[in-house]
Amino acid sequence: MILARISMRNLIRHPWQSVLSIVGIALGVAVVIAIDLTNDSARRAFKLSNQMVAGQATHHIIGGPTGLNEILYRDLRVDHGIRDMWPVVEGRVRLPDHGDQRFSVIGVDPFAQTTHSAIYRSTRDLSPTELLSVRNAALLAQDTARRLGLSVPSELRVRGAGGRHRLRVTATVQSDSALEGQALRTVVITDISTAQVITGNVGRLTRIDLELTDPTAVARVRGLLPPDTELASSASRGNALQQMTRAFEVNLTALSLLALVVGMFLIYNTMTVSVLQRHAQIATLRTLGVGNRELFTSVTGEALTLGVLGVLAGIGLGIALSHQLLALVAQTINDLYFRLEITQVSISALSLAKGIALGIGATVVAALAPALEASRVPPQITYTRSGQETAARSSVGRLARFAIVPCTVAAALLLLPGGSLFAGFAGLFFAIFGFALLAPALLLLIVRLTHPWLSRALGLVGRMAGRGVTESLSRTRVTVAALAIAVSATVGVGIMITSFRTTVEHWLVNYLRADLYVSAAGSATGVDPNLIRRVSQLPGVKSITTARWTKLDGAGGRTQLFVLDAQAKAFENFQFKHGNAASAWPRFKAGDAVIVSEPYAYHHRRGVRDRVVLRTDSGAREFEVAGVFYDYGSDRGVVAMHRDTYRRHWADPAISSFAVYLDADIDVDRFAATLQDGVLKDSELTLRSNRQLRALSMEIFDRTFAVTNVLRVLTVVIAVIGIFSALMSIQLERGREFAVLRANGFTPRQLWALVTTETGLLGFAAGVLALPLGLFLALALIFIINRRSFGWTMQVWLTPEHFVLGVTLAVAAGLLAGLYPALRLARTPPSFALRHE
Amino acid sequence: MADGDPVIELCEVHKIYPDAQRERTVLRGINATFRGGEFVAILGRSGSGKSTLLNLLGGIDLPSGGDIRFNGLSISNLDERRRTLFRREHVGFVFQFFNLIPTLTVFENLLFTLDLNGVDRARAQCRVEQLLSQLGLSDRGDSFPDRLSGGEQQRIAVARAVAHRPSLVLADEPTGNLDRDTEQEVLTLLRAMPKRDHTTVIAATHSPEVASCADRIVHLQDGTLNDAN
Amino acid sequence: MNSAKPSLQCWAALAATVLVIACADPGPGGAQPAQSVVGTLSSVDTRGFRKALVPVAFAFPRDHGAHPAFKTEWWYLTGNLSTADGRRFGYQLTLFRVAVTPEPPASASAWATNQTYMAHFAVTDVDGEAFYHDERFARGALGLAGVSATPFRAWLEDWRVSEDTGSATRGCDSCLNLRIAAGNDEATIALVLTSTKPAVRHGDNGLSQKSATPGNASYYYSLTRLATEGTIQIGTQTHAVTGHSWFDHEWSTSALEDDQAGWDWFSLQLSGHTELMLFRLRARDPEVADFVSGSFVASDGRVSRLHPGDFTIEVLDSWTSAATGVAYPAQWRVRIPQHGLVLEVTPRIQRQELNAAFRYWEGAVSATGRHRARPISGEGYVELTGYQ
Repeated sequence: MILARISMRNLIRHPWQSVLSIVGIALGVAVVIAIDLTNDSARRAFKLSNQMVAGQATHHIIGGPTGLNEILYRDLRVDHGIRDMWPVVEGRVRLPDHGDQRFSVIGVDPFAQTTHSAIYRSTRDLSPTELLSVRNAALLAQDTARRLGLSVPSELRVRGAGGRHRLRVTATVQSDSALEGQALRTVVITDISTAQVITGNVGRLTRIDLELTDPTAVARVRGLLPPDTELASSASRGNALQQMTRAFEVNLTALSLLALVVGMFLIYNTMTVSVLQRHAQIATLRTLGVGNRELFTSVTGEALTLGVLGVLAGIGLGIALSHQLLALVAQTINDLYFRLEITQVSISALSLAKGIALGIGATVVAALAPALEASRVPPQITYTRSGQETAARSSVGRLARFAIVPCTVAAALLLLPGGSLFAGFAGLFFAIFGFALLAPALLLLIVRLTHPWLSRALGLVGRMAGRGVTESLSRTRVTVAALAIAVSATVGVGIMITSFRTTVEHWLVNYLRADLYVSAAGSATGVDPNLIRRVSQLPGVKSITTARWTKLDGAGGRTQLFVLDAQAKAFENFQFKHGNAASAWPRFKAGDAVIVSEPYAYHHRRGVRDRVVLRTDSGAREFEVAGVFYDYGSDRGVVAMHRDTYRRHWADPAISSFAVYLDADIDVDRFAATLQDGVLKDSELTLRSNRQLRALSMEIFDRTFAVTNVLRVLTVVIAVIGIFSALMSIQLERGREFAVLRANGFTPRQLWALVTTETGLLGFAAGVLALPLGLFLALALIFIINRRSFGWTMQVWLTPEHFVLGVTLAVAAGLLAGLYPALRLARTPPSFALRHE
Repeated sequence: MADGDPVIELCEVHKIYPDAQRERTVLRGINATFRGGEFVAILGRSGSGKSTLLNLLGGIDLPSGGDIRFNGLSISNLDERRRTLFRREHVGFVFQFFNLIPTLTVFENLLFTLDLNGVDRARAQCRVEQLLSQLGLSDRGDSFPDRLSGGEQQRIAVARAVAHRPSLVLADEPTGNLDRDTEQEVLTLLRAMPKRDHTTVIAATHSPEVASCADRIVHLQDGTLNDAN
Repeated sequence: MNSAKPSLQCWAALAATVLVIACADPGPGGAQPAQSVVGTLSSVDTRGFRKALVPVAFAFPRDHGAHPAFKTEWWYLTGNLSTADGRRFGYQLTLFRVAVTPEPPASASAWATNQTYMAHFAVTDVDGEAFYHDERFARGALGLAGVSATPFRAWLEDWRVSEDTGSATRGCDSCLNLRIAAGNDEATIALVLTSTKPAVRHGDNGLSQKSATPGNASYYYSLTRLATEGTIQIGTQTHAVTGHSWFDHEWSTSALEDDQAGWDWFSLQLSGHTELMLFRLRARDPEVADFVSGSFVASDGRVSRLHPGDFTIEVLDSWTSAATGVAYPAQWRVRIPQHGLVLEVTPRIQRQELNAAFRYWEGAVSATGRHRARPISGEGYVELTGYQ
């Protein structure tokens, strides 16, 4: 069909326009695919790492803060003959000889059913007695041993909660797949006895895994369990753990979709401009008897061609990008949620398919309007262009009026109480759509407002530039909208991050009141109480509060527990959202009441006087909520309780950290140095000053938003490509008009000024338009998206830099886009341009 | 269809444009008959409604009143799609600015209407080669239109208009954009080529040269059509 | 001086090595790799363990318990039982102990140990022509598996043999009255065993030599006749049974000689309240004589040691396992001229092969023959290992 040939030649005739469109859609698709692959890889890594230990486990017996009493395992096996189960001891160690890397220790009983898990299976070529016959025998994945430069046998020194130990690597195990290798990457497998000792868990099990296929067996096991333990199904437990990262993933996905939406505008823009440029030609085609459906198909086909090429490039780019993003996402997951080894991007066909479908779908949707526009071009024997512009201007009002629809939907989605996170993001996208409809009207307004100013500043060129913008509105409105949206996204996300960061900084200042913090990170047994006593007796020490961080696992998920023995004074460090320190304190100190952090209250829908249920040593027990406090340390939330309360219900004397308050006249740094070289010498404890801890917290905060920033930049890049492509095509199209100007005595410099003023004006307009939208996005992110994701309250901190940056970015993009056409047009002799047309 | 049979009949054709403030009546009761093989020149001043009339004849626009019959069939009542198919099959167009498709070669431009009409590729190519040789442009088949002079482009345009052997060729200022010499060449073609297939040519023009080679001249004045003689 | 079942020593040592192979993917059909007994045994490091070098006076109940300084030890129960209406069954319950190192590890963990355990369980349903067997492994720590002397208790998870302290042994200090319970999804046993004869010390007062090499020996005693009653459950059917059981306890450190291929072991309870234990260690080289030994227990409990040349074992028939393709001898004629004893020993059913981590045939047998010209009959267990 010759019509198809026209389409293809048209794409080839405008190579930069086509290529930029392809790049735009490719980037959009790449971002979507990369984020999806990254999320998916994290999920897979999680699943696999779970499977490595849990294997075919259908259930887990889980205990309290210190795990399970090992005798339970003996009782179940020996007294009750329950056999499809196996014990697990897990813990963390560091490898002092290998850059102090963090490793997981997994302790197994090779005599338990050996077919169940990959960890067990990986030992298949070994004698189980090997783990017993060699003292502190340890197994490493083959790749891990190679990475550490260890041969077999060799010695591996570890430092864990149970102190320093020398392990003997007696064998390496081979993983069946790269993913399995990843799960084993930082794992050392030992006999359960060795693991208990080095992780400081003597007498305790992390959990017992079971394979229970029949409901009566489940009921039987459940009936046998003591009250401080619980039988949880793997599926629910895995889900509960994975839920932790869900909001984080959704936020990344939404940002990636934003990039695609901007990419969509680009395709829309390219096709619209292309259709407008070919208006006369399309009219001829219609005259010659080409039907409107055929034109619709042919324009859609052109867009699809760009879309498919863009998607293809996007796949490769996305995979490459995902490798870069993975490290950032992995870092955040490890910082905020749980320890997880993710080094391997697993290319899932589903992720790619999703990206392809979204890319092609976005292209088709974006091409709908221009295709429709093309199909509506009337046949015409004598062609005039001004008709289009009249039509475009008359549609400005109509579009603006129509904007009420998406804006209403957006308002409903964003403001109706109880809305989901998904609804929140949908609302954002509707708001953006509504804004895109309003953009042309606002653009006209801005141009009208700047007109007098421009004509005064630049004279004729300024007047012409303003008129040029309005005259070419049919071509420029989408460009400006797309740029405005991209810039507003970066402004909005920027404001949100700044607000969040400032909120956290302020919170930390109030929250971290002690002078020094000493912690036994990752240790089960924690800080030696004698050591604390010694510190408390040092001159200059005013007071000490101790804390215990622990997790309570249950079928319903994981509860972060923060146990502290603070006095009333230190209790005031908590900033209450509901309730207050004075009224909460007595019940907190003596009355079995807890206080919960804001995200906890949000996720669990608990308020003051509500109750939270926690599994204590004597079974599930209700605790009254005496207050809700601000906390930005955990996005899943924390339950804080007094140490006395904790000790009444849990036989766990461990202390994770303690805070030292010094007398006012003590030099903190000098005291810290003395402490480090004195009492803390040879201990495994970490000493940090208030300032260092705050800096560390902010460092983690910044790491968390590293991915966000990458996506932000990519979105802006796509938009800049968009404006570049659109403005360039508009300006180049005007060769004849400029030739006339040149012929009439315009100097190249004047022409150059005209073009760049026009494109700069468009950029400026986009930048200005982006500000209210950016502010709106920021507020929506802060008050709706963030609340629905994490439940945090943030103060809004508006600083000029985001606004200035936004406008500067847009103007720069505009100027840049005008530069090339201006140079080219200015260089072209007028006679050539005239004849050429 | 033989020479002399009525191909198009206009009966009390009106065209009124609804402008912003008031209606603008361009054609007020046109009655005319155009016969097979006839070359008719419509003369009139700018804005006299020549283009409007051509639009109506080509089924591009619909009359506000009256009837236009093409071989006895009323085209005033056809829907958009039928009119498109009507144009595709029965009408050829010659534009003032040639309006060749810039992304198609000369050969492909000529192939275009044949292709639209579903003529099979071999026959269509044969026809195009024949047309090119008639034009004396056989060696330019692979060129793109922008490589051709205005006269050459318009000659190709004439050939495109007759390629699919339509019953009617509509020409809007076919030589309006050409110099005197090339005007003659194009006019010769425009006279000769349709004749072979007894195609009616209606050319809107204010060029006396065009008028001089017409079989019949009509004047469009004040929205009505009057025979010159 | 020679001992019965030296093979078992190999098993226990081997079992630990093999068990992972068994427990891991058995592959389609569950075929097990054949193990070279001798090859693996010779690689077992026995340095640091005590060895059975000279006879020692056994002291009961202490010596019913474990001897962790020796590498290997087992407690072995077999028996022929029948219901009141004559339906016959056999059972086997064995607990093997293997120390992986001579010394227990110094560790605060209750899981830390150098002692590992393996248990085998089998039931022969003679009239149903069916054979059920199972195996288990555990470490000798945390109470998962172990053996204690007073009161006697030997267990691996919920398979257990324990002293029935409620019944008296009437002044016999080596005697044990036991309760045993074991089983799996297919078959379970719950039996009460009462000693009717004191312990028989095999070999040289309990030192049972198994090759000419000094130290290649075990300490070995048996309770040759325990009156047994209880229930055997097969599927959903429970059978009340009575009969007799045989209890062996043996501990040692050293291994087989390189040139020994396997062994045949017989424990027979004969009419007239007598018992016979025989074994032969088969030499690889047909030119070399097999290493044989045995004990004949008279009705009054007196024991006669049987030396090489005192008896012969003639194979009358053979049977090939469809599951493993291994051919085992399947009928024997035993002659002990000095006691005027000729016996034909026949498996109750052929299919009593334990296709476990370690593959062997161990099954209930019947015996008929003549003792000093009078007809005699009996029943017992035969064990055959090292057949390929």
